[in-house]
Amino acid sequence: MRRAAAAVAMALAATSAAAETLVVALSAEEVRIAATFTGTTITVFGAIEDGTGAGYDIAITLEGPRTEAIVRRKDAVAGLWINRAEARFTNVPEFYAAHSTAPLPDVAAREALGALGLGVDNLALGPTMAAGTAATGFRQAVIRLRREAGHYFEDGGGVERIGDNLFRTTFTLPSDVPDGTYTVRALLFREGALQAEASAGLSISKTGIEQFVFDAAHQNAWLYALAVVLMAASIGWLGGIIFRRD
Amino acid sequence: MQLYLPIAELSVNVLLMIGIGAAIGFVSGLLGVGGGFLLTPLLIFTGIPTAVAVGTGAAQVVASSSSAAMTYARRKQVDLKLAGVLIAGGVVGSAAGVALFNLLQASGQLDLFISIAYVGFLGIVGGLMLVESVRTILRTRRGQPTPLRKVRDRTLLRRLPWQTRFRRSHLHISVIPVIALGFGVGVLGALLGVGGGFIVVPALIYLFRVPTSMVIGTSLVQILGTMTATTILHAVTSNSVDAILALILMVGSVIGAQFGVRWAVHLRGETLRLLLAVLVLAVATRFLVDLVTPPQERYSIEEISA
Repeated sequence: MRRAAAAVAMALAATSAAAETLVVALSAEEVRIAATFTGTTITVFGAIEDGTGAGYDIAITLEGPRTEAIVRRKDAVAGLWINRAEARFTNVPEFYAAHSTAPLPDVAAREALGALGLGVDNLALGPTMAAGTAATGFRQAVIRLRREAGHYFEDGGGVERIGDNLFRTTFTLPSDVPDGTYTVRALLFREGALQAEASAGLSISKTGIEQFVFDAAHQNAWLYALAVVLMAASIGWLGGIIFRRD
Repeated sequence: MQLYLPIAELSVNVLLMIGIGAAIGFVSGLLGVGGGFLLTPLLIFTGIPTAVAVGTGAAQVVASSSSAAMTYARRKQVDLKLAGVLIAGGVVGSAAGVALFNLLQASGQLDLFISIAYVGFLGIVGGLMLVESVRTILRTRRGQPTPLRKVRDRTLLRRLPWQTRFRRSHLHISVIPVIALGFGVGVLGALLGVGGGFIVVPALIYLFRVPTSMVIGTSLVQILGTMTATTILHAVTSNSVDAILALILMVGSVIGAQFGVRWAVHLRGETLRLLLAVLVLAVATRFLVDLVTPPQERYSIEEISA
Protein backbone atom coordinates (compact mmCIF):
# COMPACT_ATOMS: atom_id res chain seq x y z
CA MET A 1 0.00 0.00 0.00
CA ARG A 2 2.65 2.49 1.09
CA ARG A 3 4.84 1.61 -1.89
CA ALA A 4 1.97 2.06 -4.30
CA ALA A 5 1.02 5.39 -2.76
CA ALA A 6 4.63 6.49 -3.08
CA ALA A 7 4.63 5.50 -6.75
CA VAL A 8 1.55 7.58 -7.37
CA ALA A 9 3.07 10.53 -5.55
CA MET A 10 6.20 10.26 -7.69
CA ALA A 11 4.14 10.03 -10.83
CA LEU A 12 2.29 13.13 -9.76
CA ALA A 13 5.53 14.96 -9.14
CA ALA A 14 6.76 14.15 -12.63
CA THR A 15 4.92 16.69 -14.72
CA SER A 16 4.49 16.48 -18.43
CA ALA A 17 2.94 18.74 -20.98
CA ALA A 18 0.17 18.04 -23.51
CA ALA A 19 -3.05 16.12 -22.83
CA GLU A 20 -3.97 14.52 -19.55
CA THR A 21 -2.54 11.09 -18.84
CA LEU A 22 -3.32 8.33 -16.35
CA VAL A 23 -1.02 6.51 -13.98
CA VAL A 24 -1.99 3.43 -11.99
CA ALA A 25 -0.33 1.34 -9.30
CA LEU A 26 -1.46 -1.83 -7.52
CA SER A 27 -1.33 -2.71 -3.84
CA ALA A 28 0.30 -6.00 -4.90
CA GLU A 29 1.59 -7.24 -8.22
CA GLU A 30 1.49 -10.86 -7.22
CA VAL A 31 -1.10 -13.01 -5.44
CA ARG A 32 -0.18 -16.47 -4.26
CA ILE A 33 -2.93 -19.02 -3.69
CA ALA A 34 -2.09 -21.56 -1.01
CA ALA A 35 -4.24 -24.26 0.59
CA THR A 36 -5.68 -21.87 3.14
CA PHE A 37 -6.46 -19.11 0.59
CA THR A 38 -9.91 -17.67 1.32
CA GLY A 39 -9.78 -14.76 -1.09
CA THR A 40 -8.02 -11.42 -0.96
CA THR A 41 -8.33 -7.82 -2.11
CA ILE A 42 -6.33 -5.83 -4.63
CA THR A 43 -6.40 -2.07 -4.41
CA VAL A 44 -5.70 0.02 -7.49
CA PHE A 45 -4.48 3.59 -7.03
CA GLY A 46 -4.52 6.03 -9.87
CA ALA A 47 -3.70 9.59 -10.69
CA ILE A 48 -4.63 11.97 -13.47
CA GLU A 49 -1.76 14.09 -14.67
CA ASP A 50 -2.28 17.49 -16.21
CA GLY A 51 -5.96 17.14 -15.74
CA THR A 52 -8.31 19.91 -15.02
CA GLY A 53 -9.68 17.92 -12.15
CA ALA A 54 -13.42 17.86 -11.90
CA GLY A 55 -15.90 16.51 -14.40
CA TYR A 56 -14.27 13.19 -15.25
CA ASP A 57 -15.26 9.55 -14.87
CA ILE A 58 -12.97 6.63 -14.28
CA ALA A 59 -13.53 2.94 -15.07
CA ILE A 60 -11.10 0.33 -13.84
CA THR A 61 -11.27 -3.26 -15.04
CA LEU A 62 -9.53 -6.37 -13.77
CA GLU A 63 -9.42 -9.09 -16.37
CA GLY A 64 -8.18 -12.66 -15.99
CA PRO A 65 -6.59 -14.92 -18.58
CA ARG A 66 -8.67 -15.74 -21.64
CA THR A 67 -9.32 -19.32 -22.74
CA GLU A 68 -11.31 -21.20 -25.32
CA ALA A 69 -14.63 -22.48 -23.94
CA ILE A 70 -17.38 -24.79 -25.10
CA VAL A 71 -20.88 -23.89 -23.92
CA ARG A 72 -23.47 -26.65 -24.03
CA ARG A 73 -27.23 -26.51 -23.75
CA LYS A 74 -29.44 -29.33 -22.51
CA ASP A 75 -32.64 -30.13 -24.36
CA ALA A 76 -35.29 -32.71 -23.58
CA VAL A 77 -34.98 -35.77 -25.82
CA ALA A 78 -37.50 -38.53 -25.21
CA GLY A 79 -37.95 -37.31 -21.64
CA LEU A 80 -34.22 -37.14 -20.87
CA TRP A 81 -32.27 -33.90 -20.51
CA ILE A 82 -29.32 -34.22 -22.82
CA ASN A 83 -26.55 -31.86 -24.02
CA ARG A 84 -27.75 -31.21 -27.56
CA ALA A 85 -26.50 -27.86 -28.81
CA GLU A 86 -23.10 -26.32 -28.26
CA ALA A 87 -21.16 -23.19 -29.14
CA ARG A 88 -17.44 -22.63 -28.98
CA PHE A 89 -16.07 -19.26 -27.90
CA THR A 90 -12.42 -18.65 -28.62
CA ASN A 91 -11.56 -15.88 -26.17
CA VAL A 92 -13.47 -16.01 -22.88
CA PRO A 93 -11.99 -14.27 -19.82
CA GLU A 94 -11.94 -16.52 -16.77
CA PHE A 95 -12.45 -13.48 -14.56
CA TYR A 96 -13.70 -9.97 -15.25
CA ALA A 97 -14.54 -7.11 -12.93
CA ALA A 98 -15.41 -3.53 -13.88
CA HIS A 99 -15.48 -0.77 -11.27
CA SER A 100 -16.33 2.81 -12.13
CA THR A 101 -17.10 6.17 -10.57
CA ALA A 102 -20.68 5.95 -11.90
CA PRO A 103 -22.74 3.15 -13.45
CA LEU A 104 -21.22 2.40 -16.88
CA PRO A 105 -24.24 3.58 -18.92
CA ASP A 106 -23.71 7.00 -17.31
CA VAL A 107 -19.98 6.97 -18.06
CA ALA A 108 -20.24 6.50 -21.82
CA ALA A 109 -22.74 5.70 -24.56
CA ARG A 110 -23.65 2.09 -25.28
CA GLU A 111 -21.83 2.10 -28.60
CA ALA A 112 -18.67 3.44 -27.00
CA LEU A 113 -18.80 0.81 -24.25
CA GLY A 114 -19.37 -1.90 -26.84
CA ALA A 115 -16.43 -0.71 -28.97
CA LEU A 116 -14.17 -0.73 -25.90
CA GLY A 117 -15.50 -4.07 -24.66
CA LEU A 118 -16.11 -2.31 -21.35
CA GLY A 119 -18.57 -3.85 -18.90
CA VAL A 120 -19.67 -7.44 -18.32
CA ASP A 121 -22.41 -7.29 -20.96
CA ASN A 122 -20.08 -5.78 -23.54
CA LEU A 123 -17.27 -8.33 -23.19
CA ALA A 124 -15.87 -9.62 -26.44
CA LEU A 125 -15.80 -13.40 -26.16
CA GLY A 126 -14.27 -14.07 -29.55
CA PRO A 127 -15.88 -15.56 -32.62
CA THR A 128 -18.30 -18.44 -32.22
CA MET A 129 -19.49 -21.24 -34.50
CA ALA A 130 -23.14 -20.88 -33.59
CA ALA A 131 -25.16 -18.35 -35.55
CA GLY A 132 -27.94 -15.84 -34.97
CA THR A 133 -30.18 -15.96 -31.95
CA ALA A 134 -28.59 -19.24 -30.78
CA ALA A 135 -25.25 -17.46 -30.42
CA THR A 136 -26.91 -14.74 -28.32
CA GLY A 137 -28.35 -17.37 -25.98
CA PHE A 138 -24.97 -19.05 -25.54
CA ARG A 139 -23.25 -15.70 -25.04
CA GLN A 140 -25.75 -14.68 -22.38
CA ALA A 141 -25.30 -18.07 -20.73
CA VAL A 142 -21.52 -17.57 -20.42
CA ILE A 143 -22.07 -14.19 -18.79
CA ARG A 144 -24.87 -15.44 -16.51
CA LEU A 145 -22.95 -18.51 -15.35
CA ARG A 146 -19.78 -16.50 -14.69
CA ARG A 147 -21.77 -13.82 -12.87
CA GLU A 148 -23.41 -16.45 -10.67
CA ALA A 149 -20.01 -17.98 -9.94
CA GLY A 150 -18.85 -14.54 -8.80
CA HIS A 151 -16.21 -14.38 -11.53
CA TYR A 152 -17.80 -11.55 -13.53
CA PHE A 153 -19.06 -8.47 -11.74
CA GLU A 154 -19.52 -4.72 -11.95
CA ASP A 155 -19.64 -1.98 -9.35
CA GLY A 156 -20.98 1.30 -10.64
CA GLY A 157 -19.75 3.19 -7.60
CA GLY A 158 -16.65 1.16 -6.88
CA VAL A 159 -14.09 3.78 -7.88
CA GLU A 160 -13.58 6.41 -5.21
CA ARG A 161 -12.30 9.89 -6.05
CA ILE A 162 -9.72 11.26 -3.64
CA GLY A 163 -9.47 14.93 -4.29
CA ASP A 164 -9.39 16.20 -7.85
CA ASN A 165 -6.67 14.09 -9.40
CA LEU A 166 -6.49 10.88 -7.40
CA PHE A 167 -8.74 7.85 -7.38
CA ARG A 168 -8.80 4.40 -5.84
CA THR A 169 -10.75 1.14 -6.02
CA THR A 170 -10.56 -2.23 -4.30
CA PHE A 171 -11.32 -5.50 -6.06
CA THR A 172 -12.33 -8.46 -3.93
CA LEU A 173 -10.96 -11.73 -5.30
CA PRO A 174 -12.97 -14.83 -4.30
CA SER A 175 -11.34 -17.98 -2.91
CA ASP A 176 -11.75 -19.76 -6.25
CA VAL A 177 -10.22 -16.97 -8.34
CA PRO A 178 -8.62 -18.54 -11.45
CA ASP A 179 -4.85 -18.28 -11.62
CA GLY A 180 -2.89 -16.68 -14.43
CA THR A 181 -1.85 -13.30 -15.71
CA TYR A 182 -4.35 -10.52 -15.05
CA THR A 183 -4.54 -7.08 -16.57
CA VAL A 184 -5.72 -3.95 -14.77
CA ARG A 185 -6.96 -1.25 -17.14
CA ALA A 186 -7.93 2.25 -16.10
CA LEU A 187 -9.91 4.44 -18.49
CA LEU A 188 -10.52 8.16 -18.14
CA PHE A 189 -13.72 9.55 -19.63
CA ARG A 190 -14.80 13.12 -19.96
CA GLU A 191 -18.35 13.71 -21.14
CA GLY A 192 -18.59 10.19 -22.49
CA ALA A 193 -15.37 10.37 -24.49
CA LEU A 194 -12.27 8.33 -23.69
CA GLN A 195 -9.40 10.68 -22.82
CA ALA A 196 -6.65 8.48 -21.52
CA GLU A 197 -5.86 4.92 -20.64
CA ALA A 198 -3.32 3.09 -18.47
CA SER A 199 -2.73 -0.55 -17.59
CA ALA A 200 -0.78 -2.73 -15.20
CA GLY A 201 -0.21 -6.46 -14.81
CA LEU A 202 -1.09 -8.72 -11.91
CA SER A 203 0.02 -12.30 -11.52
CA ILE A 204 -2.11 -14.79 -9.59
CA SER A 205 -0.40 -18.12 -9.02
CA LYS A 206 -1.01 -21.25 -7.00
CA THR A 207 1.68 -22.27 -4.57
CA GLY A 208 2.38 -25.04 -2.15
CA ILE A 209 1.14 -28.61 -2.28
CA GLU A 210 -1.76 -27.83 -4.67
CA GLN A 211 0.53 -26.45 -7.33
CA PHE A 212 2.96 -29.30 -6.78
CA VAL A 213 0.19 -31.88 -7.28
CA PHE A 214 -1.20 -30.02 -10.30
CA ASP A 215 2.21 -29.75 -11.97
CA ALA A 216 3.04 -33.38 -11.24
CA ALA A 217 -0.28 -34.60 -12.67
CA HIS A 218 0.17 -32.61 -15.87
CA GLN A 219 3.92 -32.71 -16.44
CA ASN A 220 4.91 -36.11 -15.04
CA ALA A 221 1.68 -38.00 -15.53
CA TRP A 222 3.21 -41.48 -15.38
CA LEU A 223 5.19 -40.74 -12.24
CA TYR A 224 2.13 -39.10 -10.67
CA ALA A 225 -0.05 -42.09 -11.55
CA LEU A 226 2.43 -44.53 -10.01
CA ALA A 227 2.68 -42.37 -6.88
CA VAL A 228 -1.13 -42.33 -6.47
CA VAL A 229 -1.36 -46.10 -6.90
CA LEU A 230 1.49 -46.62 -4.43
CA MET A 231 -0.18 -44.27 -1.96
CA ALA A 232 -3.48 -46.16 -2.33
CA ALA A 233 -1.87 -49.57 -1.88
CA SER A 234 0.17 -48.48 1.14
CA ILE A 235 -2.79 -46.84 2.88
CA GLY A 236 -4.79 -50.03 2.31
CA TRP A 237 -1.85 -52.09 3.52
CA LEU A 238 -1.32 -49.89 6.60
CA GLY A 239 -5.02 -50.05 7.41
CA GLY A 240 -4.88 -53.82 7.12
CA ILE A 241 -1.96 -53.99 9.55
CA ILE A 242 -3.33 -51.51 12.08
CA PHE A 243 -6.75 -53.16 12.18
CA ARG A 244 -5.60 -56.73 11.59
CA ARG A 245 -8.28 -59.15 12.69
CA ASP A 246 -6.80 -62.59 12.14
CA MET B 1 -12.85 -26.42 6.82
CA GLN B 2 -12.39 -25.81 3.09
CA LEU B 3 -9.58 -27.38 1.13
CA TYR B 4 -8.69 -26.72 -2.49
CA LEU B 5 -8.49 -29.81 -4.70
CA PRO B 6 -5.86 -29.19 -7.39
CA ILE B 7 -7.20 -31.58 -10.04
CA ALA B 8 -10.93 -31.14 -9.44
CA GLU B 9 -10.11 -27.40 -9.30
CA LEU B 10 -12.60 -26.54 -6.61
CA SER B 11 -12.75 -26.17 -2.86
CA VAL B 12 -14.46 -28.80 -0.77
CA ASN B 13 -15.29 -29.22 2.88
CA VAL B 14 -12.68 -31.62 4.27
CA LEU B 15 -15.01 -32.98 6.95
CA LEU B 16 -17.69 -33.74 4.34
CA MET B 17 -15.16 -35.66 2.23
CA ILE B 18 -13.81 -37.59 5.23
CA GLY B 19 -17.44 -38.34 6.09
CA ILE B 20 -18.11 -39.68 2.59
CA GLY B 21 -14.95 -41.78 2.80
CA ALA B 22 -15.97 -43.11 6.22
CA ALA B 23 -19.52 -43.89 5.03
CA ILE B 24 -18.18 -45.79 2.00
CA GLY B 25 -15.70 -47.61 4.24
CA PHE B 26 -18.47 -48.46 6.69
CA VAL B 27 -20.71 -49.85 3.96
CA SER B 28 -17.87 -51.82 2.40
CA GLY B 29 -16.89 -53.26 5.77
CA LEU B 30 -20.51 -54.02 6.64
CA LEU B 31 -21.48 -55.58 3.34
CA GLY B 32 -18.17 -56.88 2.05
CA VAL B 33 -18.23 -54.81 -1.14
CA GLY B 34 -15.63 -52.45 -2.61
CA GLY B 35 -17.86 -49.39 -2.45
CA GLY B 36 -16.82 -47.88 -5.79
CA PHE B 37 -20.42 -48.08 -7.04
CA LEU B 38 -21.45 -45.78 -4.17
CA LEU B 39 -18.37 -43.55 -3.98
CA THR B 40 -18.34 -42.37 -7.60
CA PRO B 41 -22.05 -41.36 -7.52
CA LEU B 42 -21.65 -39.63 -4.13
CA LEU B 43 -18.72 -37.59 -5.47
CA ILE B 44 -20.74 -36.65 -8.56
CA PHE B 45 -23.71 -35.65 -6.36
CA THR B 46 -21.48 -33.36 -4.25
CA GLY B 47 -20.34 -31.49 -7.36
CA ILE B 48 -16.98 -33.10 -8.15
CA PRO B 49 -16.59 -33.17 -11.97
CA THR B 50 -17.66 -36.58 -13.32
CA ALA B 51 -14.26 -37.42 -14.82
CA VAL B 52 -12.48 -36.67 -11.53
CA ALA B 53 -15.12 -38.64 -9.58
CA VAL B 54 -14.51 -41.74 -11.73
CA GLY B 55 -10.69 -41.43 -11.78
CA THR B 56 -10.44 -40.78 -8.04
CA GLY B 57 -13.05 -43.47 -7.29
CA ALA B 58 -10.80 -45.94 -9.09
CA ALA B 59 -7.85 -44.94 -6.89
CA GLN B 60 -9.98 -45.43 -3.79
CA VAL B 61 -10.91 -48.96 -4.95
CA VAL B 62 -7.17 -49.76 -5.17
CA ALA B 63 -6.79 -48.80 -1.50
CA SER B 64 -9.84 -50.68 -0.25
CA SER B 65 -9.10 -53.86 -2.23
CA SER B 66 -5.37 -53.95 -1.37
CA SER B 67 -6.07 -54.21 2.34
CA ALA B 68 -8.52 -57.11 1.97
CA ALA B 69 -6.53 -58.84 -0.79
CA MET B 70 -3.56 -58.97 1.56
CA THR B 71 -5.60 -60.73 4.22
CA TYR B 72 -6.81 -63.40 1.77
CA ALA B 73 -3.31 -63.85 0.31
CA ARG B 74 -1.99 -64.48 3.81
CA ARG B 75 -4.62 -67.18 4.27
CA LYS B 76 -3.60 -68.65 0.89
CA GLN B 77 -7.13 -68.14 -0.44
CA VAL B 78 -6.06 -66.69 -3.79
CA ASP B 79 -5.74 -68.52 -7.11
CA LEU B 80 -2.96 -66.35 -8.53
CA LYS B 81 -3.05 -67.96 -11.98
CA LEU B 82 -6.80 -67.42 -12.34
CA ALA B 83 -6.45 -63.85 -11.02
CA GLY B 84 -3.60 -63.27 -13.48
CA VAL B 85 -5.70 -64.34 -16.47
CA LEU B 86 -8.59 -62.16 -15.25
CA ILE B 87 -6.21 -59.20 -14.85
CA ALA B 88 -4.80 -59.75 -18.37
CA GLY B 89 -8.32 -59.41 -19.76
CA GLY B 90 -9.02 -56.58 -17.30
CA VAL B 91 -6.08 -54.42 -18.37
CA VAL B 92 -7.14 -54.65 -22.04
CA GLY B 93 -10.76 -53.93 -21.05
CA SER B 94 -9.62 -51.00 -18.93
CA ALA B 95 -7.67 -49.51 -21.86
CA ALA B 96 -10.75 -49.85 -24.07
CA GLY B 97 -12.96 -48.34 -21.35
CA VAL B 98 -10.63 -45.37 -20.78
CA ALA B 99 -10.48 -44.71 -24.55
CA LEU B 100 -14.29 -44.70 -24.74
CA PHE B 101 -14.44 -42.53 -21.61
CA ASN B 102 -12.16 -39.89 -23.16
CA LEU B 103 -14.16 -39.92 -26.41
CA LEU B 104 -17.39 -39.36 -24.47
CA GLN B 105 -15.82 -36.55 -22.50
CA ALA B 106 -14.64 -34.77 -25.64
CA SER B 107 -18.13 -34.96 -27.14
CA GLY B 108 -19.79 -33.59 -23.99
CA GLN B 109 -21.85 -36.73 -23.40
CA LEU B 110 -19.86 -38.28 -20.54
CA ASP B 111 -22.29 -37.22 -17.79
CA LEU B 112 -25.25 -38.54 -19.74
CA PHE B 113 -23.54 -41.85 -20.45
CA ILE B 114 -22.45 -42.33 -16.82
CA SER B 115 -25.95 -41.51 -15.54
CA ILE B 116 -27.67 -43.92 -17.92
CA ALA B 117 -25.06 -46.61 -17.25
CA TYR B 118 -25.52 -46.24 -13.49
CA VAL B 119 -29.32 -46.29 -13.77
CA GLY B 120 -29.29 -49.46 -15.88
CA PHE B 121 -26.49 -51.25 -14.16
CA LEU B 122 -27.44 -50.45 -10.56
CA GLY B 123 -31.13 -50.90 -11.34
CA ILE B 124 -30.56 -54.46 -12.55
CA VAL B 125 -28.08 -55.44 -9.83
CA GLY B 126 -30.13 -53.80 -7.07
CA GLY B 127 -33.40 -55.27 -8.36
CA LEU B 128 -32.01 -58.79 -8.53
CA MET B 129 -30.50 -58.51 -5.06
CA LEU B 130 -33.74 -57.12 -3.64
CA VAL B 131 -35.82 -59.99 -5.03
CA GLU B 132 -33.29 -62.58 -3.94
CA SER B 133 -32.92 -61.29 -0.37
CA VAL B 134 -36.66 -60.76 0.17
CA ARG B 135 -37.32 -64.30 -1.05
CA THR B 136 -34.72 -65.73 1.28
CA ILE B 137 -36.05 -63.74 4.23
CA LEU B 138 -39.65 -64.86 3.57
CA ARG B 139 -38.53 -68.46 3.14
CA THR B 140 -36.62 -68.39 6.42
CA ARG B 141 -39.67 -66.95 8.18
CA ARG B 142 -41.80 -69.82 6.90
CA GLY B 143 -39.12 -72.27 7.98
CA GLN B 144 -38.47 -73.61 4.48
CA PRO B 145 -34.93 -74.64 3.58
CA THR B 146 -33.13 -72.65 0.90
CA PRO B 147 -33.29 -74.70 -2.31
CA LEU B 148 -29.95 -75.66 -3.82
CA ARG B 149 -29.15 -74.21 -7.19
CA LYS B 150 -29.30 -76.49 -10.18
CA VAL B 151 -25.93 -77.37 -11.66
CA ARG B 152 -25.81 -75.73 -15.05
CA ASP B 153 -24.54 -77.41 -18.15
CA ARG B 154 -20.88 -76.50 -18.57
CA THR B 155 -20.14 -78.31 -21.81
CA LEU B 156 -19.52 -75.01 -23.62
CA LEU B 157 -16.81 -74.09 -21.11
CA ARG B 158 -15.25 -77.50 -21.74
CA ARG B 159 -15.49 -77.33 -25.51
CA LEU B 160 -13.83 -73.92 -26.09
CA PRO B 161 -10.16 -73.95 -27.09
CA TRP B 162 -7.17 -73.09 -24.85
CA GLN B 163 -8.15 -75.40 -22.05
CA THR B 164 -6.02 -74.56 -19.04
CA ARG B 165 -5.57 -76.08 -15.63
CA PHE B 166 -6.02 -73.81 -12.60
CA ARG B 167 -4.54 -76.04 -9.94
CA ARG B 168 -5.50 -74.10 -6.84
CA SER B 169 -9.16 -73.95 -7.90
CA HIS B 170 -9.20 -77.58 -9.13
CA LEU B 171 -10.42 -76.34 -12.50
CA HIS B 172 -9.71 -77.33 -16.07
CA ILE B 173 -11.45 -74.81 -18.32
CA SER B 174 -10.90 -72.64 -21.38
CA VAL B 175 -9.24 -69.28 -20.69
CA ILE B 176 -11.49 -67.53 -23.24
CA PRO B 177 -14.51 -66.96 -20.96
CA VAL B 178 -12.15 -66.01 -18.10
CA ILE B 179 -10.46 -63.36 -20.24
CA ALA B 180 -13.88 -62.18 -21.47
CA LEU B 181 -15.09 -61.77 -17.88
CA GLY B 182 -11.93 -59.84 -16.97
CA PHE B 183 -12.33 -57.66 -20.07
CA GLY B 184 -15.97 -56.82 -19.33
CA VAL B 185 -15.24 -55.90 -15.73
CA GLY B 186 -12.26 -53.84 -16.91
CA VAL B 187 -14.43 -51.78 -19.28
CA LEU B 188 -17.02 -51.26 -16.55
CA GLY B 189 -14.38 -50.23 -14.01
CA ALA B 190 -12.83 -47.68 -16.34
CA LEU B 191 -16.19 -46.13 -17.25
CA LEU B 192 -17.88 -46.14 -13.84
CA GLY B 193 -15.02 -46.28 -11.30
CA VAL B 194 -16.31 -49.53 -9.81
CA GLY B 195 -14.28 -52.62 -8.90
CA GLY B 196 -16.96 -54.98 -10.16
CA GLY B 197 -16.72 -57.52 -7.34
CA PHE B 198 -20.47 -58.09 -7.39
CA ILE B 199 -20.16 -59.37 -10.96
CA VAL B 200 -16.91 -61.29 -10.60
CA VAL B 201 -17.89 -63.12 -7.40
CA PRO B 202 -21.18 -64.62 -8.72
CA ALA B 203 -19.52 -65.37 -12.07
CA LEU B 204 -16.68 -67.27 -10.41
CA ILE B 205 -19.11 -69.23 -8.23
CA TYR B 206 -21.91 -70.07 -10.64
CA LEU B 207 -20.19 -69.95 -14.03
CA PHE B 208 -16.74 -71.35 -13.37
CA ARG B 209 -17.44 -73.32 -10.14
CA VAL B 210 -14.42 -71.90 -8.35
CA PRO B 211 -14.29 -73.29 -4.80
CA THR B 212 -15.94 -70.87 -2.36
CA SER B 213 -12.75 -70.54 -0.32
CA MET B 214 -10.89 -69.13 -3.36
CA VAL B 215 -13.60 -66.84 -4.76
CA ILE B 216 -13.35 -63.68 -2.65
CA GLY B 217 -9.55 -63.60 -2.49
CA THR B 218 -9.15 -64.20 -6.23
CA SER B 219 -11.77 -61.57 -7.04
CA LEU B 220 -10.02 -59.05 -4.76
CA VAL B 221 -6.62 -59.61 -6.40
CA GLN B 222 -8.26 -59.24 -9.82
CA ILE B 223 -9.92 -55.97 -8.74
CA LEU B 224 -6.64 -54.69 -7.29
CA GLY B 225 -4.77 -55.43 -10.53
CA THR B 226 -7.42 -54.10 -12.91
CA MET B 227 -8.17 -50.94 -10.94
CA THR B 228 -4.45 -50.19 -10.59
CA ALA B 229 -4.27 -50.19 -14.41
CA THR B 230 -7.47 -48.13 -14.62
CA THR B 231 -6.19 -45.50 -12.16
CA ILE B 232 -2.90 -45.18 -14.04
CA LEU B 233 -4.63 -44.93 -17.45
CA HIS B 234 -7.08 -42.27 -16.23
CA ALA B 235 -4.28 -40.26 -14.61
CA VAL B 236 -2.07 -40.43 -17.71
CA THR B 237 -4.66 -39.88 -20.46
CA SER B 238 -6.99 -37.32 -18.87
CA ASN B 239 -5.31 -36.07 -15.65
CA SER B 240 -8.49 -36.91 -13.79
CA VAL B 241 -7.13 -38.51 -10.60
CA ASP B 242 -7.03 -36.08 -7.68
CA ALA B 243 -4.35 -37.27 -5.26
CA ILE B 244 -5.47 -34.97 -2.43
CA LEU B 245 -9.14 -35.97 -2.71
CA ALA B 246 -8.09 -39.63 -2.93
CA LEU B 247 -5.97 -39.32 0.21
CA ILE B 248 -8.82 -37.77 2.23
CA LEU B 249 -11.29 -40.44 1.05
CA MET B 250 -8.87 -43.30 1.74
CA VAL B 251 -8.15 -42.19 5.29
CA GLY B 252 -11.88 -41.86 5.96
CA SER B 253 -12.70 -45.23 4.45
CA VAL B 254 -9.96 -47.16 6.27
CA ILE B 255 -11.44 -45.94 9.56
CA GLY B 256 -15.08 -46.41 8.49
CA ALA B 257 -14.43 -49.97 7.34
CA GLN B 258 -13.44 -51.05 10.84
CA PHE B 259 -16.79 -49.97 12.27
CA GLY B 260 -18.60 -51.60 9.37
CA VAL B 261 -16.91 -54.93 9.99
CA ARG B 262 -17.86 -54.81 13.68
CA TRP B 263 -21.48 -54.02 12.86
CA ALA B 264 -21.66 -56.79 10.26
CA VAL B 265 -21.36 -59.43 13.01
CA HIS B 266 -24.76 -58.41 14.39
CA LEU B 267 -26.68 -58.63 11.10
CA ARG B 268 -27.82 -61.65 9.09
CA GLY B 269 -26.62 -62.24 5.54
CA GLU B 270 -30.04 -61.70 3.97
CA THR B 271 -30.57 -58.48 5.93
CA LEU B 272 -27.20 -57.21 4.73
CA ARG B 273 -28.05 -58.06 1.12
CA LEU B 274 -31.42 -56.35 1.48
CA LEU B 275 -29.68 -53.22 2.83
CA LEU B 276 -27.22 -53.27 -0.05
CA ALA B 277 -30.06 -53.70 -2.57
CA VAL B 278 -31.93 -50.69 -1.13
CA LEU B 279 -28.75 -48.55 -1.24
CA VAL B 280 -28.00 -49.54 -4.83
CA LEU B 281 -31.58 -48.80 -5.94
CA ALA B 282 -31.53 -45.44 -4.15
CA VAL B 283 -28.43 -44.37 -6.08
CA ALA B 284 -29.96 -45.57 -9.37
CA THR B 285 -33.15 -43.62 -8.63
CA ARG B 286 -31.22 -40.43 -7.91
CA PHE B 287 -29.49 -40.66 -11.31
CA LEU B 288 -32.82 -41.33 -13.01
CA VAL B 289 -34.49 -38.36 -11.30
CA ASP B 290 -31.62 -36.08 -12.39
CA LEU B 291 -31.99 -37.31 -15.97
CA VAL B 292 -35.71 -36.64 -16.29
CA THR B 293 -36.10 -33.49 -14.16
CA PRO B 294 -35.84 -30.24 -16.14
CA PRO B 295 -32.50 -28.76 -15.04
CA GLN B 296 -32.45 -25.38 -13.28
CA GLU B 297 -29.63 -24.30 -15.54
CA ARG B 298 -29.62 -25.74 -19.04
CA TYR B 299 -26.26 -24.31 -20.02
CA SER B 300 -22.82 -25.41 -18.92
CA ILE B 301 -19.32 -24.16 -19.71
CA GLU B 302 -16.28 -26.29 -20.34
CA GLU B 303 -12.96 -24.47 -20.51
CA ILE B 304 -10.45 -25.78 -22.99
CA SER B 305 -7.04 -25.19 -21.46
CA ALA B 306 -4.28 -24.45 -23.89
